[in-house]
Amino acid sequence: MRVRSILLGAYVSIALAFLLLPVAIIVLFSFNSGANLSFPLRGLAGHWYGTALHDPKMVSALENSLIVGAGMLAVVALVGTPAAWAIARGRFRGRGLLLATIVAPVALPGLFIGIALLTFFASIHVHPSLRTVVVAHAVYTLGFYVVIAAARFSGLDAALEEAAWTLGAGRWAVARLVVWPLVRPALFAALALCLALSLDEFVITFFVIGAQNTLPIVIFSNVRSVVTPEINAVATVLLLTSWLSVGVAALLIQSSARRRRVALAEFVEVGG
Amino acid sequence: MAAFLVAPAVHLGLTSFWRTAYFQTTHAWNLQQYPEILTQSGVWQTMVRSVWTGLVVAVVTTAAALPIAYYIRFRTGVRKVLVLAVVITAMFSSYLVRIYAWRTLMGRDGALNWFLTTVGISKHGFTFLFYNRFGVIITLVHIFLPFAVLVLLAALEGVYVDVLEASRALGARGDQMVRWVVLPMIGRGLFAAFAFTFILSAGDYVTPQLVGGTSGSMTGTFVMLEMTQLGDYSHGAALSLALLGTLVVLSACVYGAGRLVRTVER
Amino acid sequence: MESSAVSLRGIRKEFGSVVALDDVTLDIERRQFVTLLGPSGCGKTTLLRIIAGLETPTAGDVYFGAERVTHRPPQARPLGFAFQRYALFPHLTVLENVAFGLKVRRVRAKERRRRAMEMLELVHLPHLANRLPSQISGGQAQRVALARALAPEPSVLLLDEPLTALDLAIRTAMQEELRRLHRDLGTTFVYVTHDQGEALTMSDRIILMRAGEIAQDSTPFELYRHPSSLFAATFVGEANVWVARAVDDAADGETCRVEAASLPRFSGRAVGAVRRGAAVSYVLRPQRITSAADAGVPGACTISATVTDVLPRGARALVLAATSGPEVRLELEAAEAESLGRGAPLTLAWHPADAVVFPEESSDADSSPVVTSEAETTTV
Repeated sequence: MRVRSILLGAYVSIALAFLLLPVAIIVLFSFNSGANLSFPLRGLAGHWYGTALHDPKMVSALENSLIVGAGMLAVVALVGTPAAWAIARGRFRGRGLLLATIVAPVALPGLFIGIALLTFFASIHVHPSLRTVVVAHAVYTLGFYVVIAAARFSGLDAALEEAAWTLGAGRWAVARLVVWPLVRPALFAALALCLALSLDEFVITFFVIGAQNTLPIVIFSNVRSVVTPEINAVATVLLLTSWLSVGVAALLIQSSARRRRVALAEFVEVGG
Repeated sequence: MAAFLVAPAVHLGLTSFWRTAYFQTTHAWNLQQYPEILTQSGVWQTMVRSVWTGLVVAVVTTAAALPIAYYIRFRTGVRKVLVLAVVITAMFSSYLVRIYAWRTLMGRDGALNWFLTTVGISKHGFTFLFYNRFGVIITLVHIFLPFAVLVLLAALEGVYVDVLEASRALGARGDQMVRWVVLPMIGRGLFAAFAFTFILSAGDYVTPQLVGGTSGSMTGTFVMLEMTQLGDYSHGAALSLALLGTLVVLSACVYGAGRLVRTVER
Repeated sequence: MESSAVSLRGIRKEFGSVVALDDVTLDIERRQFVTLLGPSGCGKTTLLRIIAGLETPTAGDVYFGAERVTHRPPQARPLGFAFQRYALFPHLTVLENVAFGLKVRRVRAKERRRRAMEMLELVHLPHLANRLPSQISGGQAQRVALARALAPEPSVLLLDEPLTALDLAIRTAMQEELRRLHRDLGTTFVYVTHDQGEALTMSDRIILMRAGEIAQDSTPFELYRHPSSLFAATFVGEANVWVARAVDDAADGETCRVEAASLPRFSGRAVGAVRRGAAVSYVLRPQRITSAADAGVPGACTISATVTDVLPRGARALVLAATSGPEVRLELEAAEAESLGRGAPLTLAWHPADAVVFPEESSDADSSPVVTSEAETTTV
């Protein structure tokens, strides 16, 4: 039993290294003072970040990524929240089907979603642009958001709403005073995750974007042609923005959980 | 009330999938494309290769993910959080960056070869490891591993420690326990991880393009080219649907095989 | 109807093909403490929720006073509701919870605080004002929930098995607390429980329900002393139930003789018309049986028995005795019971007026006829 445990630990360590190594190397190279893309490193410097930030193409790509992200968040929040509520609380026939349709894009290769949307837009004569990218990202991340939001809604005790009604609160007051404060952290966390996914998204974006670029697309075209060293800096920036979003999400979830835990600890101390 | 806002999104989702059924850009139904595809040179082989690659990636990824998910589920404390954090970090690292990272690592002038030449294991470095099918597989495994871990973790959450303790009390050995207790309980999760990875990796087009070299191309790349460069939407659509169809059918077969095994064992 | 706090007319509720309530009609007077009592699934909670507006009846009407409120949502009805699991808002402090109903009615903050504190004092918990619901115990939470429901001064308070989740000791204290609140505030209380002991202790009036219908509607004493059906007799309080056959015809209230296998003939009071030769249930409460030493009363029914077991219960004890017929349960003073060992001979006696004869209903097949009630055992 002990041997098995040690083996498992060793395996997991190797697996972790496997997962982190490639990414770590990119981050490492972004600080390379030399222009080479292979080892050994010439020295540590941060000047590639400077180059990247002054490159107009990079900057506009970053802007576009953020614009798309913001737009997508708005769409997902507006469409996804009522949908998640309906799925969690509703009792209508097509509930399972609705959920399946929303979640489907998550399981399908970006290829299919990309060309599906591309042909769709073509057939309704909408030209590819940042707007189509917003729609595409929304379709893709909606599945994640709705699943998380619906789970949170289901976990909300229905008795709380009933209690609020019996105390005289109308539906809007209940939503505002009871439901919203309780689901807020989870919903924001879900949105943060969607943002991370949107920033990282390349496969679908490639199909539906027009002449502009988002960050991953810029990296792609760079990689395909001549690789300039600043690409490492750009890639690291992309990584950091995604990780930042995930970090925010984790913090949101942790803080609400911690509040409950602290309250419980205080309770135990006081002795009930 | 909720329906109002949901409907447009749903409609979009649905129609965007339906639209690919128009096999010609003139919106006339035409089934000619399909036989055409199959007879076209190279298409059949590429599709076989895509499916095969997808299968290998799915099997390796699922098998590799299981111990990690197990570790996270049944350990406590700092270690568990650390492993989980790494998995999530990897998952939210941009897809493209990860592919590029592998190129940097494994390419001709990559870090690995530098390591090998410096240490003296090989004179010019290993070139056979990359820009081919193997490179594609490794990269895809890396990409989908965190996802598979999370899916399996969700499935393992349903396995309670007391069930394991009970079976141990009944005299089951370690591996017996895994086979007879744990695996059946997470069977559905295993299938989900496998199927997702299979479909997603077989349909990938970026990875083969960047790290596949000549022998590593997959159907996805064809489709992408058709759609973006050749502008032949109908062809690309037909091709991608054919691929998807094959993948779904194969997944169903695996599912059926799994059910069969379970009933036989009983 | 105008004088009643709540009136129900012909309430029917169906859930798919299941009929939860069938034509329920009743009036609840102001300031009454009414309990809906019954086994699980009898529809009592559904009825309460219909009164509250949390469910809509399939047919029938609900009135608060003279107003028809059948289709009005709960927020439009002058009521308060206490939930079984308290349903306190976890993100608000105790004080904010209690003040919630006032906040919704746009009472100013200062006034809100004052009234909420007043309510907390009423339930003896002002020191918990700034705690969160996760930081208080179950009994405290239930009291906060009561304070919250009563803060907006509703005319009717509905309570859905509020004490079921609490420990026995706290439960007893809470029963007295509820009774006191009812007395002090004068609010109409409609209480739901499956615990007959609780119902008997607290209520002015008990509505016994079974399978979606009202089985009996009377005061606690009345229900215990004069149950109108076998179900009522066995659900409330303990009872010996013997399967027997009527010897005479008897009208409701008349004396009736019955014979049961291997037992002498006994007399009892008929409830409902009894026909000679019909199958009946002969029901006798353990508290009404004495051992022979006291039975000097003429006309008493007697039977000889042997003690099988003695179960102490504080001041009194339950004695199980075997007879030539079924086993009998009787209650004796602890001192008397103490001296009885297993196998001790005993002569049992009771007055025929204390025994009740119920004609067999088709629905009696559901309740277990020959076994004494398993309901909560409390002596009254």
